[in-house]
Amino acid sequence: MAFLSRRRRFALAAAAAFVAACPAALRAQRSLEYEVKAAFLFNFVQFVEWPGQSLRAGEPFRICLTGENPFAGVLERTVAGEQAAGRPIEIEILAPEAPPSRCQVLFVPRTLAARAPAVLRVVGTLPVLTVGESARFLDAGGLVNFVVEGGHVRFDINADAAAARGLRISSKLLRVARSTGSSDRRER
Amino acid sequence: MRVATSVLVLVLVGASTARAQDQTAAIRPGDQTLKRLSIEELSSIDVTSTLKHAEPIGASAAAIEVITGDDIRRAGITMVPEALRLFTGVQVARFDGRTWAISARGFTISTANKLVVMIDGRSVYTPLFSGVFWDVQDLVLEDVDRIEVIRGPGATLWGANAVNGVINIVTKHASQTEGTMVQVGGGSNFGQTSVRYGWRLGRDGGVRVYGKYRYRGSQVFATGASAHDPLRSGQAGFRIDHGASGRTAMTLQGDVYKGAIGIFDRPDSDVAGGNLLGRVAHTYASGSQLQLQLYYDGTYRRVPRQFAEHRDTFDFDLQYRTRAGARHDLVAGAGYQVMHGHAAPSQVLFFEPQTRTSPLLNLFAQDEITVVPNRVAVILGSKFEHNDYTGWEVQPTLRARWTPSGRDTLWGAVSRAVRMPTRFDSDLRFTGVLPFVVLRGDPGFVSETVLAREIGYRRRVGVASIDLAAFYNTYDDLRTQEPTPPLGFPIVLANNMEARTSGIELSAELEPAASMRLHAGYTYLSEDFRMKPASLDRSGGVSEFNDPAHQVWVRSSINLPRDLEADAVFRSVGALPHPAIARYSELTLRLGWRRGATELSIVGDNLLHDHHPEFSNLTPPEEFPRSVFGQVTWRF
Repeated sequence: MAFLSRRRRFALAAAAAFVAACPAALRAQRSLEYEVKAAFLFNFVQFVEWPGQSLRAGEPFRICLTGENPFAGVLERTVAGEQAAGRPIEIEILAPEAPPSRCQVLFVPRTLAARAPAVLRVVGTLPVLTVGESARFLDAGGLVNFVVEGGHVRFDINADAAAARGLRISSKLLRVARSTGSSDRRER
Repeated sequence: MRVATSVLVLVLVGASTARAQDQTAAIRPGDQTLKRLSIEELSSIDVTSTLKHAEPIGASAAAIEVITGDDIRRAGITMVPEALRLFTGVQVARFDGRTWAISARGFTISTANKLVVMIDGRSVYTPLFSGVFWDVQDLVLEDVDRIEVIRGPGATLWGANAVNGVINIVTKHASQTEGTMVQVGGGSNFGQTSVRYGWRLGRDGGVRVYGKYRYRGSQVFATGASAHDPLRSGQAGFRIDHGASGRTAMTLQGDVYKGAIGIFDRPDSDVAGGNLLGRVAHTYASGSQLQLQLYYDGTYRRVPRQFAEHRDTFDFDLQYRTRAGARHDLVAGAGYQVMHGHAAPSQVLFFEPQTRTSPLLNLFAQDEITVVPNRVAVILGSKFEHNDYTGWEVQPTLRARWTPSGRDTLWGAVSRAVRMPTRFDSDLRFTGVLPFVVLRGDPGFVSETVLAREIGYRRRVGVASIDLAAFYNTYDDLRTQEPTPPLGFPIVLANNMEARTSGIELSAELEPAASMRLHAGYTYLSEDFRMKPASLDRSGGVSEFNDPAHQVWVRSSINLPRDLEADAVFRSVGALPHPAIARYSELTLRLGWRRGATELSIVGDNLLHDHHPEFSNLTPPEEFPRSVFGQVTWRF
């Protein structure tokens, strides 16, 4: 344990030095946009029911991030100490295109938009709430897509696809969604 | 185990900046506040400007309620003040064809003076009497994004006069109003036409221009005879937004209006005005934000045989938000406003001096401190405001929030706020038809003050949510009318009254099915006014308040098959003491049909009575008749 914490301190120091040397642009991601998106993700989890077999006994509830974490710590803090489906929530970063079989939510950041179709193909029909933030994410088979519209974070839901994967999305969430059809951009 | 995992990830992912920050930065308060908000509230946060105008901090440690443009549409509302009836804890009563008595937590009079009211960051209450001329606060309601009401003192952020609450009306970002919208409505007592055209500007910006003409028919007297007080007005305006998703966001907007409003016993009164507002918000790489806002607002109002006033306001406002260390979320700002008012003398009153230029300087700072990450936060702040009448005023607040689980929030607050003297309190000289001054203001009039203690609880359970708030306020230096011995004249305005008010506000929302939403609200209010020993005013202060003890409302929205919408708003308002108005209940029903570009609706308002009064000290009182109207909206 002492070894671990020493290692951890070393890693943190190294990371901190790395951060300090980083271009400012990389750190700009700590914007309110991602704070709001993190709060939305936490909210989504409360308004979606996963099929019983997708949550194994003794396992935490996992929100997975594909490839990288654009939330810069906000998401971790948002879910710290919180529960979903009666379990503690954990955040995990997955390599792109790794099968998310242990995840209940999979977030695909917009920096990986180009690889989103491939990521979604790997997800297939697993009961995973896939959440993206890029054009055509729903067309590619994603379930929820964030859109920043007029300064507000809005989202579209592909309700039919969610149902096909055994996810039950509450009517409240559907009502607030900008659209609930199966393709990305429509007028309301 | 989790420590090991995170070290591993850190090393393996190659210390991605994001991950490293997770580990080094501790809990920041904003995240904890945001996650307590509902999905609707989250959708309404302007992520391009996080300063006080979009500040979610107050959201969970204050009695705040938000209604959306869609709520307004579904309630069949056609005027801004009527929309305030949809809020719990707001008292709304029509006085006559042009005047509304609107307040929160008591002190409702036709010149109610304890609320701050803003439209898109521009203050619309007049320092003439610290109230709002609601008849000229018009908007294309289709373009309203939301209305937020914060009950209780909001002075630390919003400044003097936010004694009992803040009303914040926010219109849509111009990128959300693309295309053409034409709306035509008419009925038994009402007619209006709005046209709006919007287009995109760059990737995420937009421009819209609009024009609107409205006619409101006359109200009636108890006999059913016309009160000859129709309202006619035309308004046009624009809004340009640019750079919504970038680092720097800019807004430029403005409106002009002109109208004529009937009064039963004299020629029409004239109103006109215009405003222009610019705002720039910049987000730094560090996440800190700076916002600069400038506006000009000019108003003109002439009421025959009463008064005429021309007023120019220039306002400058600067705000900065940043995080200091792991536990502090700081907002600070400074503002400077210059108002120039000129009131021409009339047969019944004049102002001394006739022309007055009032500078107003404010500085504020507020810190949200995380005490126990995820669970307990304390918010501490104060406004320091310098005005021309009383000098510096200090308006602090201390708030605390406890979130024992993800679904409930318990909060409490203690705040001080003031209502600054107005021209009415200081400069008014009222002669009536007599050759001498009957009632006068006093340049020595001081600010009215409140010390407010509030507590609230919110809980969300599945398809239901409840919000409960209670308050106990003590007021000092309230306005009285002191006779001058021996003859009693002139009556001089003074600060010789105290009050204690307390109340409970409860609202609930239930969504039993996807196609149905129910909202309900209940307000209880108790007021106890007493004169100080020095006072000679024997009125009991009745001209400063006239509130119902109980108010209830219920609103239901149902989506029916075939694109039909059925909506109902029921409200019941307790009796008013002085002048006495009997308890009444009213019902508004709406049936709408929406398909593609077309929306049709028919609305019946005031359905339970032929006509009835809501609030009056006119003799005879004006009453508000039942009305039915239809509306067609095309969007293309």
